[in-house]
Amino acid sequence: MGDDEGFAEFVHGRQSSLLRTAWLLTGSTAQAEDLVQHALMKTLPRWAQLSRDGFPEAYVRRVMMNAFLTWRRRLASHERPRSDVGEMATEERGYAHVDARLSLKSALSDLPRGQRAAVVLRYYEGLSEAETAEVLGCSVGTVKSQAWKGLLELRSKMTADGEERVNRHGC
Amino acid sequence: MGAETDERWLTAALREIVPSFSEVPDLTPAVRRRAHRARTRKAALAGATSAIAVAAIALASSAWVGHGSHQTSVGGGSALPSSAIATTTPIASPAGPTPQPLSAGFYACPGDDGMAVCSNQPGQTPKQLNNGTGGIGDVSIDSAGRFIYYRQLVQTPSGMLNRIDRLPVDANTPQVLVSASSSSVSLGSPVVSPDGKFLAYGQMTLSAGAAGASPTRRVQVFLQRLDDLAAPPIPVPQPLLSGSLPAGPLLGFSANSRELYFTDTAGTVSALDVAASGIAQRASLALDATTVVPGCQLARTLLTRADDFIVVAACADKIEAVRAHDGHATPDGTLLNTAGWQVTDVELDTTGRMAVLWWSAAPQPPTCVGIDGSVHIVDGVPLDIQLHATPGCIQAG
Repeated sequence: MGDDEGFAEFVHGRQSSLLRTAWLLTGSTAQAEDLVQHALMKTLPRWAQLSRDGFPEAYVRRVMMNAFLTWRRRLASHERPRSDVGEMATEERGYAHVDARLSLKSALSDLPRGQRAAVVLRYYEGLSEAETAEVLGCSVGTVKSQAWKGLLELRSKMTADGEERVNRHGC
Repeated sequence: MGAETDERWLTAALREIVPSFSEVPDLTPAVRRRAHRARTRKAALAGATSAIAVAAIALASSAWVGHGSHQTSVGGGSALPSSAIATTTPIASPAGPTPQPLSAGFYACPGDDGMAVCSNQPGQTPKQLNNGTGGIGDVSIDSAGRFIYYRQLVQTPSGMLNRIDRLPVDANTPQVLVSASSSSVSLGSPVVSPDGKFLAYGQMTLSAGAAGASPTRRVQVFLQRLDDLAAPPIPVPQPLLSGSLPAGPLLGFSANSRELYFTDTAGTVSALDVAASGIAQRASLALDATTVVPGCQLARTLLTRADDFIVVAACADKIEAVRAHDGHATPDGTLLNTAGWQVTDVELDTTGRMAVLWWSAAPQPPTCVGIDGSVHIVDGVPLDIQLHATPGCIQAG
């Protein structure tokens, strides 16, 4: 298989997974697509070498994480925000369920980027602390601290939101 | 709830909220187009080398050539609060005339978590603009340095809102100037007239196309009276925009007249003549930026307080800033560019004397995954170069 076909097959097979991670990081479909495209674009010229080494996805994810953490300016100033409440999973399970999903998404977006990245890698991607540290280019201690703080913050926000909903609905 | 339960719950909840993205069209063509654009741009940068290690050497020998008689080497890079700087090559010391000190001013800058406003004075902490959603952008500051204007996306109990806010530089509570609740409307690019009477902003409305067709986009420009926020915004008549729809941010109002400048996709700058009533009456060509930097890739055009335009572009072997005034163009700074740097953004501070330019370069696998930098140019003279890179990007020079 030529490099071109190999790259296309990789994108076809892995884009959904990459987009899901990017969506959790950015909170928006448009920015997620932009982030994934950016990472893939940076990967494309080096595809031959990366595919020979055998782990191209690890590199794409590292570029994506690095871009997310350092690419603040571009994401912040050139992308147009858009409402994306309707982008979430489509099963209808009642308003309380929708509320909970909105709360988690909102709470995740409230986390500082470092904590958000650590939370997504540790608890969504299921990476170990050492693997997360390697992807983020920081120490294991930093990963532990960032992921733990993120977890506490999410729990605190979700609990507060849940109580607020209960009070609002009187049940 | 215990920590382990928390972790299991979070894993399950994250997997539940994330969209599947199973029906997203194949990204390969878009990635290839983007890569092609990047290659085309790079191809123009003759002498570009893919060896990032050389970047440090190239930077060390870079030179900004100021306008007039200014000629100087790059300024010394200040220490960055980052452990990711990986160069042992000293950045050259300033060798040219030192500009007069700047009076206090501000400019939009990247903060630790989203957009911020930076001071042009050393040692000042950036003012972070953060609403938690990461939806803040298009930051502008009035020429007096009193108010910060920006658009942001806000989640409310009734849904998402697109807003344009005004925040005093010395306060933390913004005032809402414009709000749109529809998810199909995006607001952006707020700029204020020098007399403070009008806010101009862009609005993009997406309309669903026919089945299978892409959504249609309608770009409009509005002027809102700031002394009467209840008054409806005044639309710029579409015929005035039809020849050159605003594609980039609105550049701002003239300091000396009520003209509003905007750029289009071709790189030309148009001027809208706005009457005292806020009604735009005519449009005219103010500058064709492509003629100012022929053969170069336009990065950004800025409007100064003196009604000059500063055009920043990546050329064959340099990144060039050119000042254009009344049809005359003069060099305003040139950064030798032998390592494929690409301009990502440029901002002007409120004094109009300092431009801040950010750039980035292609990373190199397996260890180098990101590299970017910035330079401050005061009166055409660079005072500071900063490099951010992950380990492995730059080796000892």
